[in-house]
Amino acid sequence: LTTDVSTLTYVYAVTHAETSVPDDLDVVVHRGLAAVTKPVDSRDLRARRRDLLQHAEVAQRVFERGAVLPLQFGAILDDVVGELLEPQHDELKRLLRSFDGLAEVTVRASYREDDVLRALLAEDPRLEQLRRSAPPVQLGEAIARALAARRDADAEAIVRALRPHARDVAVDELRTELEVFRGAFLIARASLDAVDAALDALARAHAATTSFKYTGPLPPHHFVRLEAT
Amino acid sequence: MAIATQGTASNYLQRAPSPSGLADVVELILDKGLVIDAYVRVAVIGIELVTIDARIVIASVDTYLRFAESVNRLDLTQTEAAGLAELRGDNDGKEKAKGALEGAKEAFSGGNGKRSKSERKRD
Repeated sequence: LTTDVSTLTYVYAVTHAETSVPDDLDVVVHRGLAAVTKPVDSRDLRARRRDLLQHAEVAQRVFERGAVLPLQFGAILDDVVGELLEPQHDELKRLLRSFDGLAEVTVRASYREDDVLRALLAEDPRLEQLRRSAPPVQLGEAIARALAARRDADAEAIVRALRPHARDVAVDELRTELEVFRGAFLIARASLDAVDAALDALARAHAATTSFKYTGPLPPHHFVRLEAT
Repeated sequence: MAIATQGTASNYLQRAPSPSGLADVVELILDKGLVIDAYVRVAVIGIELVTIDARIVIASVDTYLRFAESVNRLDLTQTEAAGLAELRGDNDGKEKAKGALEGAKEAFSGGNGKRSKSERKRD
């Protein structure tokens, strides 16, 4: 046995101690809380593809059994009780209770380029005029401006349609000029069907230009925050 | 729960019970989730870069030129047909409209591309 290698503990998530966590996962239980963990070798602290996928998968599996606080990827502790479960006990308990019965769903909406450009030209004759006569940069700038205005209005419509069903909303930064909305809604499980119906109606109404992607129900990745200590 | 277990193949709304693929997972777990003070971060160099490399760039001349180019290659005569097919919302109609659009695009580029040059030559 070597003595210069220490075993550390990777933490996926925290749940109530009474949650029936799947048997193949390790747990550290302390005062009504359970941290879902795995041992890691201090010499090998690298993130591989499978580590990332596993983190999300473990959080999801625990979430299917009860309320869960997913940690950000990469949390490794020497002493899970001394560094996390004991000092943060009251806050973790409070947070867990606040997420009981809730789930996150993520929503993404993106324009299909040709379809949205067609719609812009059809709706604004000035753009069609620029297309015939203006230099490309001027045409492109007008298109970009019209697209931005349309995107702002459509993003607002998405939030407006889903907000009444949600406890909270988190809007993520967009990645490309064709994206309309990227974000997450915190939903009571009892309202998931209503959200699905609202999103379906919205997506159908925007089907000519926009494709929607809807993922969930998920652990509340976007919404877990420890109060500053 | 229907939405947890069933994906549908609808064109306008894609449903998934959990994130599919590494990019979606990375987005959820790398800068989201509970952050605790005293911990070691595993090395994620490279992955964090992937998540920030594609930021929205609206106000650039390159973007303007790309939009102008895209607009100019659109076949605008198809606008109405496509709109109607989308409104009907049934998959059959959509597939047909898509096929028609692609056919029209081919005809469009063929008619204005090499073939018209060679036709002119023959004249």
